[in-house]
Amino acid sequence: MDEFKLVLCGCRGAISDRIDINALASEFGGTAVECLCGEDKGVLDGGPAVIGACPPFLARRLLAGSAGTDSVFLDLREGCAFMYREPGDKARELLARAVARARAKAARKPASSCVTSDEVVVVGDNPAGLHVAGLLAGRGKKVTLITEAEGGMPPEKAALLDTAGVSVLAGASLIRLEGGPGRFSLTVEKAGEKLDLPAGALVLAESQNSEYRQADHGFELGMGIYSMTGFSCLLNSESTVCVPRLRGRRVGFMVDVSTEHSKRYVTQALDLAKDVVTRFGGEAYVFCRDVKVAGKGLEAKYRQAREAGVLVIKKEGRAFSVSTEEDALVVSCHLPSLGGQWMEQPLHLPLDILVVDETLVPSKALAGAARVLGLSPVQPGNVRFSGVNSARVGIFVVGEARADLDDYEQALDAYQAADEIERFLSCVDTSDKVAVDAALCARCLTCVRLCPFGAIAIDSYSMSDKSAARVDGSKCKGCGVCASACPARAISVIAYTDEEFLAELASSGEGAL
Amino acid sequence: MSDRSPRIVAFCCEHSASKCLFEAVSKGARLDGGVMFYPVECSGRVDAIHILKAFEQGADGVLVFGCFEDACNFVSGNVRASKRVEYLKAQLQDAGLDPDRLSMVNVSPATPARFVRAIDEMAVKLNGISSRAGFDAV
Repeated sequence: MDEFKLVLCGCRGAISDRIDINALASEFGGTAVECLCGEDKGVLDGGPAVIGACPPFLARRLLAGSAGTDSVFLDLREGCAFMYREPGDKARELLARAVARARAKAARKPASSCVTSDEVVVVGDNPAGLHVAGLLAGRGKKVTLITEAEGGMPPEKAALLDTAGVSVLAGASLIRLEGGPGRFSLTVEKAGEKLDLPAGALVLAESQNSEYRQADHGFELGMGIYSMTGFSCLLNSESTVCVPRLRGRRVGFMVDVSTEHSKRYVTQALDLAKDVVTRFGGEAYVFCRDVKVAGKGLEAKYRQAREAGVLVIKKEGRAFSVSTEEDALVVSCHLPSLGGQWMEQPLHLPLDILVVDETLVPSKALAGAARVLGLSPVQPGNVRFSGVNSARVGIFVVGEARADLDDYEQALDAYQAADEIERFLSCVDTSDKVAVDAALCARCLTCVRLCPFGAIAIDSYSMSDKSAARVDGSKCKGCGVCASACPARAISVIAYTDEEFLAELASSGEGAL
Repeated sequence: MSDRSPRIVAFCCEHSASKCLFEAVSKGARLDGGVMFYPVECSGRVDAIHILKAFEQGADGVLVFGCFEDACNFVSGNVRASKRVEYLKAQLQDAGLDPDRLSMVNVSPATPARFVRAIDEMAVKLNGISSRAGFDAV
């Protein structure tokens, strides 16, 4: 067996106790080892191999870097847990399948390539971004942080980054991205000059802004109505004119209107309400749907605010309205009474100040950077993108750039991103995921329409030019949706071609199935 | 009624069903030996040709495991797969095969029980189908 190695892992007994891997290995002309992800890793030389071990999704990750990217993995551990036949027979069948597949693969000779890089560019300076820049620099990566902020960073932030060894490009904006994962090339504009930056991986760490949306509330700001951000600035200002005027006022906070269950605004409202009572001797009311469910630590904040004297009123079921007529602010709501009844008379609560919640919108810098990076400015709510992974390979999104996160979650993001990036950069697979047969491609646009990541483009439709659909390697994730939909069968997934599948199917024990 | 357990080809999305298999087995589930797992990157990768070839090679049933809707690692691969399976069921019926032999099941790594039940149900269904008079001749 010259074209590939065959290695069977005993998984320290998890496999070798049930299956005689030594006998299987000699039958198929391979080697059996005790622990492939541990001390026996040296058996693999980076070339193509058939590897019998734990499930492929685990083995591929554990053996990244030592197993060739075009290796065939088979699941000896979980795949052989069957009651109907001996595990050994099942293993033989699986092995025969994998060998048939590897032969079909070797006949095609796909190029395997693995590059390493230690350059990371962080775009933006949100807290998670600063954190991840510091973490990666500490792990020996060459980190550059780009921020659009004019006049650079606040001195304390800059000092921290300097100590960590992060180089900072302030007042610079991202204008172009080229290349693929592991070898991105960024063009950055700084004071009218264009700079080129190489990067193995990218981190998007821009911020979101709070914005008051009148359509959600139905009234304008002013006349004693403040946005959360505005009121927070006022309360924390040093102004000798405004601050004394806030003494002894009756303030209402309205949350869960623009954004339901937003930990940012609920936290802010509870903090500010507590301040109104304790620092300014006023009365504070928080109108909410649910204050405790939005995030970590809210339960305690809720208790502290109530103990300080803040009244939390749940607006639910019955009518809830705010009237701003005749220059008086009055909130009317029905309150529940005992026995599941509603109180006959609504509560009319005159207020001096009403503070309303806002909604998060991507900042200009975030929207701009996301456009250049080919990402959506608001990350989709797909559970698979939870965490720091974006829709593009090699580009990670942290902190506010992806969601409304509290400090704790931002720190988690930074650690997760640092780990993911370190692993990603240790071996970046730059080989193409799919191949397009230019002779077969009819340029029908089916793949262009279907690709979930917008990775496929057709450059020319002219009859003289025989160009085919072109797949952008930095966007392609190798799912194969295009390959199975192509009417001309011009696209094949290199990791698992139709020929490989058919070879495997034909070898599945007992002649056929 | 055939004397062997039904042969099922199960296409497993690597992001959900392969993890289900891992979870199920590590929790002690024992699956029917007649089922063959083919890990694929995405259920959207499973083409009509794969399913039909599996039947041609003698599979009694084919299961396509994909992620739940809105949870596909590749955004819409699972939706493509379920549409394809629906289409193929109609084709199978036209060809005289019971459309119940093919089925698409949505799972997530957190639903190993659903995964195992789908395989068991398919096996039961296939036993019922093959016991119908004259059907094995097709």
